[in-house]
Amino acid sequence: MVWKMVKGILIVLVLIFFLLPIYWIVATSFKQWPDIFAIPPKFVFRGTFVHYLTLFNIRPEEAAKFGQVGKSLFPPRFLNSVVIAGISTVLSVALGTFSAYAFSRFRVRGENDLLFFILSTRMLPPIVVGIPFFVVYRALGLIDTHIGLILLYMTFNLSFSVWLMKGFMDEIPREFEEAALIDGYTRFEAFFKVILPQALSGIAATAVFCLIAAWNEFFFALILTSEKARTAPPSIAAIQGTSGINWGQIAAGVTVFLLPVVVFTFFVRKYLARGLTFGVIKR
Amino acid sequence: MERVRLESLSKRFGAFEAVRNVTLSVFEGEFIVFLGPSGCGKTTTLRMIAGLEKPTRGEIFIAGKRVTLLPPARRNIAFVFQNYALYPHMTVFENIAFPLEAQRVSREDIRRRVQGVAKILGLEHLLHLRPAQLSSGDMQKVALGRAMVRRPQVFLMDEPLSGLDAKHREEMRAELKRLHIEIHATTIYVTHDQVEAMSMADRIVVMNEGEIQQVGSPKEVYLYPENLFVAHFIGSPGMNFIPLEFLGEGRGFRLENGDILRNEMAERLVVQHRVRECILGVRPEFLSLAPSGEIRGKIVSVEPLGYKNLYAVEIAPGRIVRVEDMRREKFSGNVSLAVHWEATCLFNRETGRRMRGEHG
Repeated sequence: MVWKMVKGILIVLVLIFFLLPIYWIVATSFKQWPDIFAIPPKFVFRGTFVHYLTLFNIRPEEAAKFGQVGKSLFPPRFLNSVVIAGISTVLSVALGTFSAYAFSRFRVRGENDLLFFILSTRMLPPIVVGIPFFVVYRALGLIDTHIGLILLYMTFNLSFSVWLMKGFMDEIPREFEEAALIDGYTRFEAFFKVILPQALSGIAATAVFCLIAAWNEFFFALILTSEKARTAPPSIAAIQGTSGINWGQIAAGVTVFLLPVVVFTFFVRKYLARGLTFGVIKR
Repeated sequence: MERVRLESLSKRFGAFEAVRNVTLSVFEGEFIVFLGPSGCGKTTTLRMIAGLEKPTRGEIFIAGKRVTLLPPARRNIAFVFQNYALYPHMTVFENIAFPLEAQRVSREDIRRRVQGVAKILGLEHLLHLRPAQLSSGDMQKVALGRAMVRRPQVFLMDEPLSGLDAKHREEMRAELKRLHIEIHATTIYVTHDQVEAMSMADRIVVMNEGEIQQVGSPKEVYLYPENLFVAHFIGSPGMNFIPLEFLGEGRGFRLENGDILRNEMAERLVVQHRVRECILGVRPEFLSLAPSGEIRGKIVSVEPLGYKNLYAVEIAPGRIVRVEDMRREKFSGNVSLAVHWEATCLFNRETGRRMRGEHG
């Protein structure tokens, strides 16, 4: 009984510890300008949507009050984030799933060396290759292009995707596709009709991680883009007015930026919980 | 009519020769059981027939057509896996219908045929469930249903009953036999369980170390094993082996313990084969404890089997034979054994093969 209460209190404390920054950002995004800086901080305040309205250029006339010059750049850059993170995630998960299937099911010459090579691409900190990438991208004309960032994020996520999916593929018994092959299907059909549905939970988990990595990436987005293909993270950090940092709008931007990943994770959580295949193959 | 023919089929995995030179004909409507210890190549042979493994050498014919290099989908066979391999994301109905969908059978026909199969197997009330919701016995039936629904040229089954508990296994064994009689399907069945083999097979193919040891009816492999391996592997316990030294015509055989055995038929056989050293093979039920038997020995243990006892009798230092006999009174110490010669086999000690007389 006492232990239960202690446990409850501990959980609440841990939750406060982790959720406070998020509460802070969300609350700030709804606070009026003076309340943002109030000391002690106000937990009860009159809310406002003004930061969101200026962020999305719905009420541009308000923006000037916060020292904003010209239109807010957030909407196009948010869209860039969606396009770049989305496409790179789809590509790395798709390629990862196919290669993981091949590694798992066929005898690949030098399989272990290849897998290690794929993993080794993750071993150096990305920041080390920042300058070389910049030089190469400039030479190839990929600076500030969507395709440039998509390729980059796809490449960085691919090793992770191959390794994670290989684990999931190895767990799917071969008998499933063998049964499908005998039932009259080609290997390709067997893959799509039988293996892919089994791999869904793995694909969902892999996609969540790839999406988060690509969505939150800051460094390469900062040095490899400037205008056209700039994504939200470097853009939010740069929200400044003539009279200093526009904290309200930054908070609104961060809140909007958090939402897609939360929503995506929410929708795939059914697949994240494994157990879809539990108990069907006797081992 | 011949339904499946294997010609000098071999399979090598790296340096390991899993299957060696297997030649076999399976006839229409026959129930063939591949029997052998694990690793004997029986499953690999089955998988080659299915097209799941490519043979290293040899040819496979199904219904007269050479299929050695065809993919499994084009062999018109059905395979029942040891672990059932039911598709977990599909209902029972969808599982059974899956092979028909590949053949682009009409929706109406699929419904009719799945219902038909479900009726034979007693699965009608389970069609809407997913495999995870079924008992293992029902899963097995669904796996059978999926195999039956397409009316294949051959049924291939890889230890389909090994996942069931003893009681269900017995039921399914009877069920399989009934199905075989009902739909008269040509079946190749792999097992390491000799009771399954004995009770279901028309012919048993005994395999060991990648090679066929013997092909024959359950009675043949039991009573007339081709070699020492088959003799020992079939039967529980297996056949007793008693080494004999032939002393010359009319002088009988000498046992390890010095006793002399005489039997005219056996002596003639040995003379005919020009062998001196041989092994007498005799099943436990063809030995009996007798007041004045031919082999002297000492009882070392007794296992009651209900209405019979299984005796372990030492007939020479370290040489134990098993005897199945009715005797109920307490037996211990020195006994003698009577040999029922008409049911014995003589093996050539050098080759391990059974010596055949004029009449097999």
